[in-house]
Amino acid sequence: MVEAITSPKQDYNLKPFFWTPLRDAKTVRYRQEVFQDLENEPVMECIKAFAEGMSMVRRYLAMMEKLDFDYHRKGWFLEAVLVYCDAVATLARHLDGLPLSSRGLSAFREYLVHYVQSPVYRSLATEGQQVKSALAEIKYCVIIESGKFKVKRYEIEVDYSLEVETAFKKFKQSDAEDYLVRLPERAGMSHIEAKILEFVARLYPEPLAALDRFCTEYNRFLDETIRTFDREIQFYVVYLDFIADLKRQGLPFCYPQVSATSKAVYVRGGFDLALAHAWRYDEKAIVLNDFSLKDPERILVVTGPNQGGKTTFARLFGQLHYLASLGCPVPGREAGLFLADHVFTHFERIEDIRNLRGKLEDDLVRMRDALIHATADSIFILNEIFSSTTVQDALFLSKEIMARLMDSDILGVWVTFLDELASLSEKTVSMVALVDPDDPVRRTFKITRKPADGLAYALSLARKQRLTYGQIKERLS
Amino acid sequence: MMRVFLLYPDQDFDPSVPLPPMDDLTQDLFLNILFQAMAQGDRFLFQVTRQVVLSPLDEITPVIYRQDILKDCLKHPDVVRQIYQIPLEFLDRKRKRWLWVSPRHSTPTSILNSARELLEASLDLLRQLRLIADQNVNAFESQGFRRFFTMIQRELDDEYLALVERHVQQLRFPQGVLLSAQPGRGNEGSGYVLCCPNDADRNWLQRLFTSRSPTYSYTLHPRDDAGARVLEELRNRGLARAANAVAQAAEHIESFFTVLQRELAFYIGCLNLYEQLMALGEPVAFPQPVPVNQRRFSCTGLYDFTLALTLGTPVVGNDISANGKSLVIVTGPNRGGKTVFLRSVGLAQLMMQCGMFVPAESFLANLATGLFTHFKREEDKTMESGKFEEELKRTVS
Repeated sequence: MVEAITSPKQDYNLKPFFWTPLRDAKTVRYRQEVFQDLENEPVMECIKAFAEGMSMVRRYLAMMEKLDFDYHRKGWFLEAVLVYCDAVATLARHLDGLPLSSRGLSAFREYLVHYVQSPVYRSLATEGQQVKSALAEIKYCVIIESGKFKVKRYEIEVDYSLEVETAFKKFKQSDAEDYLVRLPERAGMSHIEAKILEFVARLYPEPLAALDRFCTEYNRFLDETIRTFDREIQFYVVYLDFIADLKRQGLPFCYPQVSATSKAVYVRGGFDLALAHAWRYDEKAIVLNDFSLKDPERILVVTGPNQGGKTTFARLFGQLHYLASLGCPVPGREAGLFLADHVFTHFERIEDIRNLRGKLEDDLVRMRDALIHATADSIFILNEIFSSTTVQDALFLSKEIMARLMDSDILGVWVTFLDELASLSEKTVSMVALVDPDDPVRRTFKITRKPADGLAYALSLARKQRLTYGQIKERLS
Repeated sequence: MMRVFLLYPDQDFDPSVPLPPMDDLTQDLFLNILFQAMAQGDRFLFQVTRQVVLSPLDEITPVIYRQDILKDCLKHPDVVRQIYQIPLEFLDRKRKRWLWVSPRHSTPTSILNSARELLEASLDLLRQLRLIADQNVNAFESQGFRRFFTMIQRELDDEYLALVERHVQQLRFPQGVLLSAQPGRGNEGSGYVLCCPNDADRNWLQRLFTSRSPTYSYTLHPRDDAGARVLEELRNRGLARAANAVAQAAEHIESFFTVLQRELAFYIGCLNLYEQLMALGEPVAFPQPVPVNQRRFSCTGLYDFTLALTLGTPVVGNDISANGKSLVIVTGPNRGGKTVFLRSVGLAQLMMQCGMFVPAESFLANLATGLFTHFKREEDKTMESGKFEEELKRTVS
């Protein structure tokens, strides 16, 4: 998902932001405020316009490095400065009239207002403009002969095409065909054009000398804070862009209550963001699920038929907590979430030939490592652990681990086929993946809080086909 | 503006207007004999005369306008044929020298060169046209020709012809292609515009100021192919707009010649017919048209010239006076000339309405908004309908 979120803006190197969850509720709220400001369309628009300007600046500066001719390089440097000044001034002007409630954006706006009034910025902008307009006033002539050319000042020579047009207009009986060849815009500079530019510099020394001075003086013109802002704000932009489509489809997002202390967590109308993203072009409806854990409840034990949405539910639990800890709006109608120090997950993996361990052993090793590092503030998400052993062994091992988790007061989800785990203690809450009561084969993908009734999916299928033990016996008798 | 206006006092003849279905009329009045007599084997003349004859006028003024021009033509047939040769010569040169403007996908340089050659080929023809105008403006009497000649004298005056010649010379760029440009983004040259080198005859004050500015020149290494390509590209960039202008200019000149050829073709056709009738010793007269709302019809010596041309001898003419009547009934013995008479009436009416002379000693009739005929036909060969049904069908349509 991080890949999908950050891939549209790769040059900002945004992944580290998404790999660094926060534990501090204050910081999370600080980010949530910024997100909320950016959900205001005009704010988002002016940030995006600014980002486009800045990315053009970076492109010009990067391109400049590769150019061969001095005045060509300096010309592009000047363009970069002009675009930068314009982007900054436009952003300052636009943000000025917009209501901002986040501390983050308000503070930046204040900084920006000061910056555009500072002598540093103002001289950069005005001198840049002056140099540019002096250059724009240069007009020269190139006289092309075969194998050679001459360069001289422009001396009010008249546009020849116009003359021809006027001269022959009188013969016009009807509109003539269009013979204008549209040559593609030429970019870059060859040694010929560089030579022409060199002659131009000799013909008009003053404007180009001014360009020289400008480039030396404003060599490092990018403001560090603005540069940082430009990158950091993209963290918010990419995430909002990522969820924009889903929001349009009517899927709910909300800003969760977060706490680093209270483990009473709940979600109403939550869904799996990765699944919703994968299905964004499909007609399939995303099922929304709820859960809530009140003290002393800590662990959701999910049972139910295969393919009933248990894994998705487990992922949703971890995902919501993780996204909340980044400060992002989470996929759900309403949520209160815990800021964990670490989310430990155990999902079934492809067996790895290299570790030379059996599946059970592998499960045990991974659990041991996780338990060594876990603290009371960790979250565990276990999906079908010990499925490769007998029911008795699995039950024994699971109970052992459950005891450890409960001892440490750890928050988590446990997807299992062992109904017994659901009612181990007051800390566990049983959730069941529902099937349609009228048609047990149809799953509803709804996970509801209710006692594990042991009605496994296979049995429900069997009943539908009238092949349960009772039914078969009845038929045979 | 160079407008020909020899068929209408205020507009060009539009050859693209589709003709109403006139197959019956053409067949009944033997119009193809008329067109062939006018065209004398020339396909273009046939096409134009057919188009003009089948688009009759229904107002007096344009009919008289054409009659006057035609009278001038009959008086000065050689001059008119001489003028007609000019557009023919232009098209002939174009075909023989393979002159045509290169299409859009070629380079501006080649578009410009091809168009310049076309301009060059037209230069002496324009001079010739001007000379004819100078010599004949006073000899011609019609409003149409006087306007045409005066327009030629005014638009193609000496100064203008010299200007065209100068352009044709200048477009070879004897002193190199002069482009003005400005530093654009990144100091890359932009806004290339082809300019006219300042004339040497600019006043001394200007020269005094401009002569101080230096010129730097650079010669490419003979093996610098990349450099030569860039230079060629710059040249093309500068020439693109000018090439468009020159190509359009060439096209304008060609379109002028085309219109001139088309409008004169009709009168050339009339001349051809006139000369054939004169050779037979048959009379022609300029008819006197009367407005559509009156009922007038009187003539003397009206004859069917298709018959005369086919037989190669003069034929009998008829005198009629039917003013104020709206219907004339012709009766008489078979093979007595009833059909021939009918045809001569139809032909004269149609020729009057397109501004031509008519085969008669005198002719006066009102103009009509439509001309319909119903002559005897062979039975429908497809045998789909009987004779009577076929006749009814034709009447309805």
